[in-house]
Order: sequence, then C-alpha cells, then structure tokens
Amino acid sequence: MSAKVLQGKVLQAEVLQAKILRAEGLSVETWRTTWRGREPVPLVRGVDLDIRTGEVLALVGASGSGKSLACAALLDVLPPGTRRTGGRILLDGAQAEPAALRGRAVASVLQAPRTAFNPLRTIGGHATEDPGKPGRIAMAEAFAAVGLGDDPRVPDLYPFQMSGGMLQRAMIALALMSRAPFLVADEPTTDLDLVAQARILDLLAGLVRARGLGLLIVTHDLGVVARLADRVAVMEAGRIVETAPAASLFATPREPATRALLAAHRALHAVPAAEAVA
Amino acid sequence: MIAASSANRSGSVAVAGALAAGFVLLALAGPLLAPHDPLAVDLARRFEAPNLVHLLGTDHLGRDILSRLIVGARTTLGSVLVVLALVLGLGLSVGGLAGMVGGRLDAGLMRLCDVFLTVPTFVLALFMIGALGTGLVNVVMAIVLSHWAWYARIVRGLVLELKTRDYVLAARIAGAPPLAIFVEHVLPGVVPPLAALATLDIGHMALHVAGLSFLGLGVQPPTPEWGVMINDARAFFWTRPLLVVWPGLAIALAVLAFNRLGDGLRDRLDPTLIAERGL
Repeated sequence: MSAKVLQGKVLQAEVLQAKILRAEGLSVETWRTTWRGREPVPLVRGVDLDIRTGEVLALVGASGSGKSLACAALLDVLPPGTRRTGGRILLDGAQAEPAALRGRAVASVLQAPRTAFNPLRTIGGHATEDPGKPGRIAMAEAFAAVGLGDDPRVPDLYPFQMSGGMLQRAMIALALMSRAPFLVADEPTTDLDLVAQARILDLLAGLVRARGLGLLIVTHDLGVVARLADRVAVMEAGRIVETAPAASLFATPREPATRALLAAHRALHAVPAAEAVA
Repeated sequence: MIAASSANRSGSVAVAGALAAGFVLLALAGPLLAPHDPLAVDLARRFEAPNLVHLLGTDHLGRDILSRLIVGARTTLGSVLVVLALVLGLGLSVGGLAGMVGGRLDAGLMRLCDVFLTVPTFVLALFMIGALGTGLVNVVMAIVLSHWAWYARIVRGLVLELKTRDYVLAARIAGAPPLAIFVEHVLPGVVPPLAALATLDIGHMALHVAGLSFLGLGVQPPTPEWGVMINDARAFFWTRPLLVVWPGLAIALAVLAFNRLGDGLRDRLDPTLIAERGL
C-alpha cells in the first residue's frame, strides 16, 4: 500500500478507511554555528505517536518541550531553520509520505484562528477553494456540524467580521470537509476565552464520538486533557517520557515531569476545585 | 463628514475612470474619430490659432493638432500598456518564483535583478537603443528591461512576507500544491500594492516613451505621438507656446486619470473597505 499512498489521490477511499496513524522515531534538529562549524541541536528526539480513529490522544508538556515541532514533523511542515533527521509515518502499517497525507488522511486545526484565514477571502471562499473538494452542500453540512449552520450569511463573511470562537469552528468545519480520518489540533483553544474554549472542546469530543475521528490534541492545559483525552503522552526536552491512559495518568503519575505538570495545574485550579467539592 | 469625503473620493475616481475610458477609446478608435488627416501638410495654414475648422489650431506644417493628439493616443498609451503588461508579467513570474522557491534560485534571480538595477534607467534605455537601433519596439523593450527588476524585487519582498503567514501554512497543511497556494493566498496580497504602483508608473512610463521620442530615439516623425509633438513644437515655444501646451496637457491628464484610477482600484480591492461600504 505504501507506494499507492504516495500517489495520494488515487487511493483516497483507502486513505479514508485508515484506522491507525503511527509516527515512529520522529526527530527534529536545528543547528548553531560555532567556530568549529555547524553544530546540531536536537529539538525532538525519537518521538513515537499512535493515533487511532475514535480516540483522543493528548500530547502535553511545558512550553518548548517540542510538542508543536513533533506535530509539524508529522505533517512535514517544519519551520525554516529546522529539519527532520529521522522517523517515518505509517498509515495502517504501510509507510506513507507526509506530503501525501496532508489534507487527505490528516486534517489540522491551528492555534490562532485569527491568522489562519486569508484576510482577503470569505469563509465560503476558503471552503470551496480546492476544486477537488466537495461543494456548497458539503460545506453547509460541515458548518452545521460545528454549529455555524443557523446563520446563512456565514460563508459570505470575511475573517475579520467573525469572533475567534466562530473562526475556530469554521476551521474545524474546513478540516471536516476534507473527510480525513485523523485530525491534528495544535492548541486549538489557547487563543479563545473560557466559554468559547469549553464549546470548542465539547464540539471536538462530539465529533470524535459521532464521526470516529482520530484526534491528536496538543496542549499544555491539563484541564483540556481531563475533559477530552483517552490517552496522554507527556513530552519533556524533546522526548516522550510517559504515555498512559488519561485516568491512570491523573491518579498515578510516574515521571517527575508529569508530576510537575499536575502540581502546577492543581495549584492554579485549587480554589475552584475546593469550591466544587464543597 | 466621513461619508461626504468618501463620496467625494469615489466621485473623483468616477471622473478619473471616465477620463481614462475616454483615452482608451481614443487609442482604440483614434483614426475614425480624428476630424482631419493627422499627416496632411498644408503650409498655407501653418500656426493657425484655434478656430472652428481646426479646434486646437495647426502646427508648424499646417497639420491639425487635435487630429494628431487623437491619433497619437494610440502610440503613446498603447506602448505604455504593452510596457506595463510585460513588466508586470516578468516581475510577477521572476519575483514570485524567487520568493516562493527561495534558496539558490532566489539568490541567483536577485543578483540578475541587481545587474539591471545598478545601471540607471535612462542610461540603460539609451544603451539598449544604441545597440538595437531606434524605433518604438526598441523603446518598449528598453523601458521593459530597465523597469522589470524593480517589480521583481517588490513582488519578491511581498511574497517573502506573505508566505510566512499562518493561512499559507494552513493551506500547506490542507494539502494545497505550491502553485495553488501562490495563486489563491499569496497573489491576492501582492496585487493591490502592485496595482497602485503600476498605475503610478503609467505616467512615468508615458513620460519615458514621450521623452525618448522627444530625443528622437523612439517614434520617428511624422508619426503623431505626444512626445514627438512636443519635440516638434519646441522650436516655436517662445512664439507659439500653445503647440507645446496641448500635447503636454494630454500627457498630464492621462497620467492624472490613471493615477487616480489606481488609488480607486487599491481601495476597491481592500475587503475591509468593501465591508464598510457594503454591510
């Protein structure tokens, strides 16, 4: 299947049926120039990720631990100045080219909805830009699925005329329109206010249940993890230090990095939690 | 107050648009509209003041000035439009390629641009005409070769800035091919500033064509062209200043009209302003 996946479009049906997206040994490095020459600086070291359809995998870790870079390596959209030095992507066990997976097997939701839309195009323009994608009926269906179906004017709005929450919903709708079985969401709620955050998380959880999406959600917010995730991978200094089901991670954290994250989370949310118990 | 000034602005754009459309009509249908043969010499009627037969008078050879202006519009404006199309095409493709691909190709193309940018425009144009010979086609080529590098540089700069935007990354992640990303997401951000620049340059290029013709390097007499007309009239400037004024006025009006039209076009392409007007 690997050679066929490389050709992307040909086997769209097969890609849509995929059950497991696996990244093995993803490694990313940058380099600094010293008097001796270029010196590699590893940023992500041998990260393995298993995303299964119908399941939410959360990738957590402190800022700078390499979460976003690992995702970028998975999709092969690393920023300039970094390069992938190892790892391979497997779709149902067959090796696949990341470029052939983008938008076909894997859709994405970016962190900042405000900047993720072209300011010169309407929302509907974004949805129908690719002639290979389904047309306005599919668009209406996707918008309805994310709760933007009530207002018929939405497709004609420009990004600056919408709120952050609406834009994030629209981005999820665009991701749904690709009908990709896997969704990578890099901090999808960080730029939103608390109410919008809760709604977007509910929406994502509902989509995973209803459509059997495989969701990889990157976050530093353990509240998001508790609410959404089935399994959790904890990253520290470019490595995955612990992978566990969400419940057992909260109950019995093994690694110091995990305990530090949990302690920080509880310190932040101690007061509301105590009130809730009382 | 704001509404009044914006109505004013769109009013002046309408006037400029009408004027520009008039010039384009003259360029297209000039020979049909001209009241007299622009080449007909009548030495008995030289230097006539504006009158009912010759609305703008006659020149030093008794040729009807209005007819020469009307027929000359095609040469002057037509050559400017050709220059502009070639410059924009070259600038967009070279600048777009350099910006999108980057790396060695970018460096190579930009050094090529530098070669053209280091030589002053007019000197390069004179050199080209010296090498290729006089004539309108060579003037057009000379102006294109001395201007395209500016556009390529500007396009490259805009592309480099636009391609780091999140929505370009989003399009890449969504699986869009590079050419589609360029056309759908980068080009719309390049066009408005480029359109404004190009319309500003229409006047500049008209002056170039007229200027090189004025020096006797471009269009050759007796072909009616605005720069040639000014050159012809130069000898009589102190006694018959109107002979210089008419073609000068035509150039000034055309430049003004296209500049204002460019401003309007830039505003029209900005969706923030569209929404303010529309919703």
